[in-house]
Amino acid sequence: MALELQYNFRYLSVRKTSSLMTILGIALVVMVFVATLMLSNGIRETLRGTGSPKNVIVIRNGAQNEIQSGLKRDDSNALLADEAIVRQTDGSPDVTTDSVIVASMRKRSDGSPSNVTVRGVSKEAYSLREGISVQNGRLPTFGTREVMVGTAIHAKFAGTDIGQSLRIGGIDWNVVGIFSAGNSGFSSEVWGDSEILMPVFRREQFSSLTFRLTSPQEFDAFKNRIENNPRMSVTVRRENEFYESQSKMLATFIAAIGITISIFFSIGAILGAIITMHSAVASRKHEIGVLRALGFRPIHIFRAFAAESLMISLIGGILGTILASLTSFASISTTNFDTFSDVRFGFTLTPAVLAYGVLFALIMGLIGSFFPALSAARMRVVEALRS
Amino acid sequence: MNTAIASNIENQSPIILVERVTKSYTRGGERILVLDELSIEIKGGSFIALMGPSGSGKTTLLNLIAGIDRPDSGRILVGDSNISALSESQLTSWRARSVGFIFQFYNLFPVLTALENVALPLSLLPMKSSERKERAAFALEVVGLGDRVDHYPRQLSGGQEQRVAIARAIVTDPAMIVADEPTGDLDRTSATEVLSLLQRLNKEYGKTIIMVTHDLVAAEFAGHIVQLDKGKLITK
Amino acid sequence: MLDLFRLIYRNALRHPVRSALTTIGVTVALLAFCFIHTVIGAWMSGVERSAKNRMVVRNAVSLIFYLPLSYYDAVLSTPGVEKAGYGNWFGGLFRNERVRFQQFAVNDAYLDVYPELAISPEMREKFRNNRQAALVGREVADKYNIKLGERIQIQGTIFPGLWEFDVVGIFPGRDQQTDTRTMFFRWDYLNERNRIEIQRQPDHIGFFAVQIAAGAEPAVISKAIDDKFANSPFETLTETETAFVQGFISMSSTIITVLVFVSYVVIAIMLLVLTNTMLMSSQERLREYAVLKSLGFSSSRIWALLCGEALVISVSGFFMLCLILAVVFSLPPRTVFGSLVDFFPVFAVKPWTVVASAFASLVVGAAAGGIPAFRIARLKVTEVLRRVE
Repeated sequence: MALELQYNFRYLSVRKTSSLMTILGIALVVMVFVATLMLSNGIRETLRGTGSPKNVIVIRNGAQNEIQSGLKRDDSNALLADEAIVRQTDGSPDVTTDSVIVASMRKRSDGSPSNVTVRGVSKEAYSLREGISVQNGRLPTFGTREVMVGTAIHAKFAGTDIGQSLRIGGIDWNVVGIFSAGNSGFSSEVWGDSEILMPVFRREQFSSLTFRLTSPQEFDAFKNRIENNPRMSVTVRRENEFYESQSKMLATFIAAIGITISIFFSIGAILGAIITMHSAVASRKHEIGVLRALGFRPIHIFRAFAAESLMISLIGGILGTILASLTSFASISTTNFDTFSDVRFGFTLTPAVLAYGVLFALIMGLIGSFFPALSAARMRVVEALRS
Repeated sequence: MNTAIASNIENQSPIILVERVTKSYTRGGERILVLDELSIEIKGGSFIALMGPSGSGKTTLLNLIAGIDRPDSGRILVGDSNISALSESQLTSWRARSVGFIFQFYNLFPVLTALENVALPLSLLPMKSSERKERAAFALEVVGLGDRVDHYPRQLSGGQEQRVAIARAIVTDPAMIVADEPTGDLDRTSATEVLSLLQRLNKEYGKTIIMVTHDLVAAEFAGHIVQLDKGKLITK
Repeated sequence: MLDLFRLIYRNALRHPVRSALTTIGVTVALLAFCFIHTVIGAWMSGVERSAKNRMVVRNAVSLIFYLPLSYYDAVLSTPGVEKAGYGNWFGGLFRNERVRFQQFAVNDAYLDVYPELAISPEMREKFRNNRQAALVGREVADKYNIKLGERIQIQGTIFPGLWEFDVVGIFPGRDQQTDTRTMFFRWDYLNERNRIEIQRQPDHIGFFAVQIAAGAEPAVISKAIDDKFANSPFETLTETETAFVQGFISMSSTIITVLVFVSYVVIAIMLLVLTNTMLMSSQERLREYAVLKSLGFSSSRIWALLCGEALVISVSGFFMLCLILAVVFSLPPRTVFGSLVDFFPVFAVKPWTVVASAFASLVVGAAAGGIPAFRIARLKVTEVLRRVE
């Protein structure tokens, strides 16, 4: 076995340029494959990470997102009187009555416009949504036109530095803080006071209500109760499930493209491996004959060539995975088809992804080397010696 | 076509002057002196055999005269051209016009027929496709293979392959033909065929032929024998 | 020249398996390239479909905010405006599916601004006579098997409730490029129910569609309209339809950039595979190239030979691509691209993409000959010829 490896390695270094090209080709293929996996992970994290299973969100029945939803004050108050909802020490419900709009803002990169979610919240939002932390500046003061921007918005859009003001709806809003909500969608939002936002945008209805139930087991009974109430027409969802469904279209779209491209690339990788191994076998016919004459069995020949292909694939796979892992410093910020506003996805690197990348390369190498190695093993000794 | 080759008899084949030429190679870190201030004059129309033990520099000298290598110092004049002073591209064009090569291993292109192989050097010269074919066919006639024009190298014997190589060497009507161990891989009969052909080319058509060989029998076909040892001439 | 071509061609065929595999590799790479650019093209297709003499007026603050209906007269009377209509995006659910066709509630004049829909006068007449009339685009009718005269139900999202419509016309659109994945119904039907039942800003519209006179300056008209409503509670933003659509596209610009980048990676891989094959081939024939050099073939000539061989392979790959595309063209897009078709109103492989692929195969073929040629140029003839002994 050691002899085989030595033999393989010697050949790799002799045909340096060719080996290098094959390795590079495999590296590029693996890079794209792994980056696609990382993006999928990133999207999943953002989808699942936005909102918490502990929270319950209520929107108007039939609305596909918070923007389309509208809940009247009276109806909301009636709903919030339900006993299952957690109350604060003063007896009022621990709820954030959000008002969500989409506003046009200009990108830093080229000044072109894109849509951003602007969310008016109540003070309870900060305790209900646990992942919110202020990176710079401070929380906006309620009752004022102060706002804070999520890290993704601050990175991509102009006019979002602390001290600057955003002009939305003919009003200037002062940016006093930059907040992070981790990988969740909230990092792509601008938050302010719901009660100040609503009259400015001539909205009399809330977009959504978010609160907690006294006991998580209460959820199904609660949902039943509220949704079947004839007086209001609402939908009750767990907060994280709701936001996850918000990006389904975009996630599906990216997945469809990602899979198609990966299939093309897999075929390419296999072809590259076949070409290289086929040529390797063809150019070493004589030596194969000698080895067989010396007493090596076909299975040894097969293993030698398979091992050589695996070696190339391993190096290419590791290189490609390393290149792909560099994307973890990047993120894609694009418009979510469902909510019509910008959302940022990161590339998430996990040990599983690293393993998949290398495994993918090895599998490609194995499949690619199969037929050439087989033909090498099945060569008739006499014919081989004759070349 | 006869006239193309025949006219050369009227032209004087050039004199080849090698003046104090030195050449060394680096092998595995060591510098090996192959030719040591060697000078030789070869008159036009002569058939020279270069002989000597392995490492004596005979092949190197051949390569220098043929313009596929450059001396470290010294001059080489072929006719009026100082080929040691030419640039790489000038040397390439000079070779196309002035030198015919014959190697030990036939170096024919397996994917081309005999005729196509012979016609290949003519692709470098401006002429009509039909004219190339005619000249190539004629060259093959001269070497006695006029009936094998459409054969591929794998369909020819060793001696025949070498004769096709000779036809290729003369098709551009060069002043000089260089041959590096042309019969090294042939059996006695084929070798004789080839050497007689070279002799004929020299005597009938006045071609200058420089041949490297270690075979004394082959060397007998030449007009002069030149001996080299350790990069220096021994006899003239 | 033809003699040299013979040499090139036969050399390419010397190793039939390797050449065939490389050709397939080129084809696969070009297919991936075409796929990516088809997706990008589908995205951008909105720009091509936009008319130069149309403009869109909408709320300046946000796309989701409305404008008062009372603005209509002011818009119509703006100098340079030939025709104008208004509408609301409805965004309902059809057969409980997250539907991917647009529904718009529009006034009658709106349909005059979009002649390419090819809505016949008979259809217009029926549209005017029935308050619950709906005009459905050909693609929607085909996908959901909707027949003329059928009564369809749509679940409202922005305007909640069950809405019923009579399909009084199925419009075909003027050509392949026209978006027939839409449905139009009457705005007054929407408004009345909105006023009574739903109360989501009745008497407000989502946008005005304007056709401007030939020779009119869009910049002048947009300023005229926007100035009229500046500093009002509903400020307007008027832009050409092209700019409007481009606004949408730029929202997804990141994805488009990534896709373009990946398409270049694809070409790079194609170059690597082809160069690798050329390297291997030329390595095996090193002696022959040495002989060519000795015969007087210059480095550039040898480079041309190698490029020629690489081009034989890459161009063959391109022809195979064309064969495959011919098959693809004859099949309906959904069979080939599956669900991706739903994301775009128009999804077809464009001629430009094929031209770009041809160009790529030529460039890659020429470049793939480069590295082997460079290696051979640096080679010493004497070294190569010496080696075998």
